[in-house]
Amino acid sequence: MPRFSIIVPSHGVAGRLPLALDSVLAQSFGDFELIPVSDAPGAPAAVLAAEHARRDSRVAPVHSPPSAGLSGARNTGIRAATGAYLLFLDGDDVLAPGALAALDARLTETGDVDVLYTEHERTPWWDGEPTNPAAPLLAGAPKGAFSPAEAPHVTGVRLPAWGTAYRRSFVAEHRLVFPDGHFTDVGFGGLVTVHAQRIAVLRSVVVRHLLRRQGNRLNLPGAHHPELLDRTDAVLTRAAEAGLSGDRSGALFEQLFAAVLKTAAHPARLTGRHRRAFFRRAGRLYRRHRPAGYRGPGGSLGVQHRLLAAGGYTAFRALRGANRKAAGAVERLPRPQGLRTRLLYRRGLRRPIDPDLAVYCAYWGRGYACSPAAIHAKAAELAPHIRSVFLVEADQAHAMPEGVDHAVIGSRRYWQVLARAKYLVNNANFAEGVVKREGSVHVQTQHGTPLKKMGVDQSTYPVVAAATGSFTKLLGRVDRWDYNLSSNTHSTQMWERAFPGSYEQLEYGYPRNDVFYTATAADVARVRRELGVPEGSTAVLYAPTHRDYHTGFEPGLDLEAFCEAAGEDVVVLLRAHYFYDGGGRRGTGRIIDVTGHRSSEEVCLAADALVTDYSSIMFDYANLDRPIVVYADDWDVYRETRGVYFDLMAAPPGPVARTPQELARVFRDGSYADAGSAARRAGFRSRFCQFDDGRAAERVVRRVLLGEPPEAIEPVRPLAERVPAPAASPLVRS
Amino acid sequence: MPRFSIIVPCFKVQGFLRECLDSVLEQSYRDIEVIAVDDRSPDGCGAILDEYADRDDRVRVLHLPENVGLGRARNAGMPLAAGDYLFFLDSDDTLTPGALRAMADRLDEAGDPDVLVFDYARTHWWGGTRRNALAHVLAEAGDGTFTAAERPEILDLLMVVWNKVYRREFVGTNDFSFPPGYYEDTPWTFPVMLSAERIATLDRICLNYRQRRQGNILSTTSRKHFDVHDQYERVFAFVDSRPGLASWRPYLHRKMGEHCLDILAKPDRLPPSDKGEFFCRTAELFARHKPTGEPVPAELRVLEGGYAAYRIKRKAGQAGRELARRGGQAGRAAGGRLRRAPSAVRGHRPLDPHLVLYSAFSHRGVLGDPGAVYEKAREIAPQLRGVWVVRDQESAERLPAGVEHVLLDSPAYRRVGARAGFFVNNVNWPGALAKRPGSVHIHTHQGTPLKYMAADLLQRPGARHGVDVPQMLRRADRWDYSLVANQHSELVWERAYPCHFTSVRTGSPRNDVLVNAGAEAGLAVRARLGIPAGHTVVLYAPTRREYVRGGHVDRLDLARLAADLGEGHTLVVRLHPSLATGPARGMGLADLHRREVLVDATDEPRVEDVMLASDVLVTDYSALMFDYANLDRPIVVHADDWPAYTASRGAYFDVTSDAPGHVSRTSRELAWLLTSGSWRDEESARLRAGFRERYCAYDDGRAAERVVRRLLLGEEFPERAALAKVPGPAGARDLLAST
Repeated sequence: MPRFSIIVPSHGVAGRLPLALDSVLAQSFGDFELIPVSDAPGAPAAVLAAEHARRDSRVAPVHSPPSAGLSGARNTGIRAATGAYLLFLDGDDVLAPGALAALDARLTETGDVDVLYTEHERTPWWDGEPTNPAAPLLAGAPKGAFSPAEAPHVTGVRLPAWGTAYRRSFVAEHRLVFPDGHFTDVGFGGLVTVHAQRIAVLRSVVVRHLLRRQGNRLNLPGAHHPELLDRTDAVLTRAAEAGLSGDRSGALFEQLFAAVLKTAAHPARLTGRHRRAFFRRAGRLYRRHRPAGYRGPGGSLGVQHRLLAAGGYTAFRALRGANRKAAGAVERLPRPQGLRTRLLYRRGLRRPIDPDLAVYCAYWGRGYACSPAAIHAKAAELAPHIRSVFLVEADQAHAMPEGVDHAVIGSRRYWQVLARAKYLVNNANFAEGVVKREGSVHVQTQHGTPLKKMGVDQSTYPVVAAATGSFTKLLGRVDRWDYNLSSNTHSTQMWERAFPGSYEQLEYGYPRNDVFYTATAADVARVRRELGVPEGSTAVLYAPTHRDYHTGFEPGLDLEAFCEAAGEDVVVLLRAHYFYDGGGRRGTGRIIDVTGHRSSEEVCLAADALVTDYSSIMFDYANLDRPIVVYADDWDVYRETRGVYFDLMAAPPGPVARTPQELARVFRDGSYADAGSAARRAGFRSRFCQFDDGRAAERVVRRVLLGEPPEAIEPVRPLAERVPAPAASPLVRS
Repeated sequence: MPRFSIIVPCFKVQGFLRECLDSVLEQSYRDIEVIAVDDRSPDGCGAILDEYADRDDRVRVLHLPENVGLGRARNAGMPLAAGDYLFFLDSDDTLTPGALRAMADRLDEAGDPDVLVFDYARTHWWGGTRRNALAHVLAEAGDGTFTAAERPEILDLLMVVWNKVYRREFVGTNDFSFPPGYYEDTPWTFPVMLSAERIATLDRICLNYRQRRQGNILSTTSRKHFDVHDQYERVFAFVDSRPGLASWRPYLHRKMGEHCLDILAKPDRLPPSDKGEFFCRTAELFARHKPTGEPVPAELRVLEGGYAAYRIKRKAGQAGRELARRGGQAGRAAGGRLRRAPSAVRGHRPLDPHLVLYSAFSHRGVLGDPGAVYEKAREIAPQLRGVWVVRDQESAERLPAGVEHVLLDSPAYRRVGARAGFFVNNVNWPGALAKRPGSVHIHTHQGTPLKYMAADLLQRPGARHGVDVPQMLRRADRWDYSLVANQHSELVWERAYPCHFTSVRTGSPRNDVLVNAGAEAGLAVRARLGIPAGHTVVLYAPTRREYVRGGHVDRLDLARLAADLGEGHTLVVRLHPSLATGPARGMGLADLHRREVLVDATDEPRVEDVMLASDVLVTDYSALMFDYANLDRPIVVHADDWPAYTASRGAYFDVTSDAPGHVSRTSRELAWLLTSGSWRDEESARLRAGFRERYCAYDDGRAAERVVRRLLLGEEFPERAALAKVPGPAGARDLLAST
């Protein structure tokens, strides 16, 4: 018996069906049967399903005539299913990568539950960001498996039937079927809620739901809306028969009538007398099914409840109409956004520059990180007369270290310090509205040595240019720079073409990399402890870069498999590119997710070796003189679509692996750290670790904040004389 | 002795220098020497040059002890040069691939001229590439050589040193050199061009002229721009020293005036306080060198007045232009309102069910599916009145005789647009065309989709960049019928265009001619394209790329491919129509066509003709392959960048595994497939048969009739008959068989 039976109705969406089927067949968890439901043999969807069935024995197509509708298709699928759990997926949606593995893991964790609710992603058909509407609903659910009484508000009424896993024996035992007609999800979800005894939730995205351009069919005008009342009636009748507790039936009742009221209030869905009839019937149902002792909600919704109970359609219509008008009027009111802060900033600009004020910001306010943080720390030591303010986004302010004076981006203080500071240090760019004052000093620290094309050099690569926005605006921001940091000649040369401007290049190295020469063995041991790296293991830092052409649904390297194949003592520190922050990855066992860790440098210190594709972390890590492996499975695509400044494959910092097997092999046979690897690294270091000698921050502070002349700054220590921080575990060296 | 001595002066270009040197050293033509002159550059240029000299013994570096400026740095490099031709390449510019080979070939062909002038494209910092607007001068100069006196228009081209190569002996005999200061190109170029006895041209983009945001030395504000006067003094001195050139004085006098006024007018060159002085110096020079008895051209007469008069005239000119612009805007807006008014009235007159409005490829003429439907309707339903919408008078003149047409946005267009019962198009009708209830829009599409379209571009940032898909779909909301040639298309269109149309399985009307082609169909086209009888014709039709701005990539060395094909073969190239007018053809294709290395059929209006004339199709991912499969002739897919293509554009299926024939991943593999005869082996036929089954399903040669009868006349007409006709063999195959 397979773990999952995945039922995919496809009426009217045959064009997208292959995507849905492929998203299931490509899952890492393979113990399932896939049941595509198509109209009839010979229909386009049936042909596609049959093709998939020929290729993969887990595919078992069935047929259901269009007249039976979505409910008929799903019920046909249920009858054909043999798996332990039923999972429904609409033919125009897709399963997220790893979704089945996550479901399986969660079910193992919670033991057999009747129903497992999950999150899903709603993707707009063209414009706008995807949303996760189920997340707030499920946020309040208990951690493990729970009985409905513990969380009566978690019902199947507000969640779609797809993406939820139902135990098949539970469905069979209670003879649950999808009710005929429209709003079948509400009906089925309600029935499931009535009967389920053990429930659990999975707090990660299982289905990616693509919104239709015309919107949800159910929300269009039409004669189908009264069927919502049929479903409501059926669910509440069954609930009464089952003798649900007051809490549970109250929650069910309230959620069902929230949907009913929404339809009743919508003049576009039902018109004229149909709307009136709908309301009247809803009122009768309300009165009939209202649980004893039920207390309606407060506020406007409470008024609607009372009107429904009283059958006051005219008053209801007038109330909703007035509300709608009021909301529309408020919407149309012009709101002076940010006007106050703009005026504040303007006023600040008229006051004199504060010569002892420095403002720092890293990665658009992500926190105390990178070179700005390193300069900030060094300035406290060497230039204590300068007050420093670190800019940070509101959601990261809690993570600021003790004693670092900070201002939240967008706040009053933010605009005040930006207007008056003499020194402005950033590793990205300040907001568009920030002007460069005469006499202020802007320092651009950059945040990596460029391998991929940057700045205006991206203009011929539409895949990235699309995300960059206006190049004229970009150069307007570049025109604010007075100094630009570089850690090697290559960077100096490339910054000059990527960001044409009249700033001065400071070939001082990256302050954030100082720690690679100043950290001690004790520091390394401390970081490893903090990260939870097991004693004696080889910690491999895996840091892939962002790919503009990826949709977030590519499976990527299977790290578990890599650990298995690479060797017993290997653990992986996973640091995804910072654009992946907040993703749903969870470290398990030998994979330690360090994506959220504040300091990329500390993570590097902890790692015995680095695996990356094209991330600029390799240039920084090379300072530690520890092994680097390049895992370049799509170099050609990256080079063609993203554009690069040099051929990394011709001069890599270590062995290059093109496939997961090759990658595992270089670790298994030790060649990741052999003489060949060291030789490549030596060449790479001499080229790219040019100015990073552990004293970059000091040079920047002396030159910029203390105004020492260039010739007074100590020259960079030669590479041969530098001693990087020691690695934790002795490495295999030949 | 190398053929070219490339002299590259370097000063503060460390960011661009590697790209420049790589573009030279990686040329397929290798008989060169590079003399890099480090003009005491304060940045990393010197080190980069030394690195290249270590690596490649064709590179020599000359480090100057002090900074001398561009002109004198070139002079310093000249004595070291040993090549036949001198080429002064600026160190932030790059050569285009194959440029030196093309120049060398052209020099041989022209019999070692004194000067060869070639074409260039400006590459802007914001990503755009623009071809030289006067490129046609190069083409019109023809194959021979000439003097400037014979073709003075050659002097209209940008008078710079780097768009020419010079015979070293010619330069040496005349003792040409560069003066110090700005505008050093002027006293070099005029003397050289006027003295050259044999000038040849090469109509090919050989150089990318980088337009930096700042850093172009001439667009910095300073008094150094006053050097231009001295430079013209030098030109006049040179002409004085050569009595034979005296007749050029009026011409140079005029050029000088124009050039100086141009510098004066540019906002970023002269400090505002110095403009008056510049004007006076120019006027003085202008008066001094004024040729006797020659009238002063009207636009230069301002130099004979005072600076105040000049300023008043300029201000007046600016104001006048602004006024005209605003007036034009207001006029157009008012006109638009006026023109729309009558259509509101016309909207009340009934639709004419016999009036069919046609358009194809954005109103370019009687083409594609709409063209095929139109021809068939004329034949079998003469009661229908077909009217074509064409975009301009030029397109109208190219229409076949007897085709009724209206110009886009003309009153006649609005008249028929308001009354037509049927609209047939293969692209969307303009947004201004409102659809009246009851009118029927038939959308034919342009081909079977392989790459992602419309709403499916959601996850492709590069491909959706600058494409307004929501607007596209609002226009597609007007479709009533969408014609499909296979089930794949039907599914894709319904997915990519979430609208309200009905798919009709008619087949593609434009392909009827391919399905029904007789043996002689391609012969006339071959004759027109000048293809020798009996040749095997390889049609190469690449498509656009979304991962590069402009869409054009040179994935194949066409000269090499043509050479590899050898005797008895003709390579016919057809670029994507959207690339026909950009710089793409200037990058070698036009030149190869002129030299009869291949045939450039991009301008052929009917792609069906080109297909009929060929024996095999080589394409990367062009939808042409689906149409071509109707001919049942061999197809080769050259998929050397398939992963990058799908990553940036997306594809509905993997054409490398569901291919219509052999697939090549490298140009060598492609050449081998074509020369070994594998392109038409059994495996190729087997793959093609499967492909035809999938994608030629409804194309039975009666698609146009089906559209006319079912959709325009409302008659019954069956879907595809059981068996399609066997298409006609290619012209060459019979001839080959008889040899």
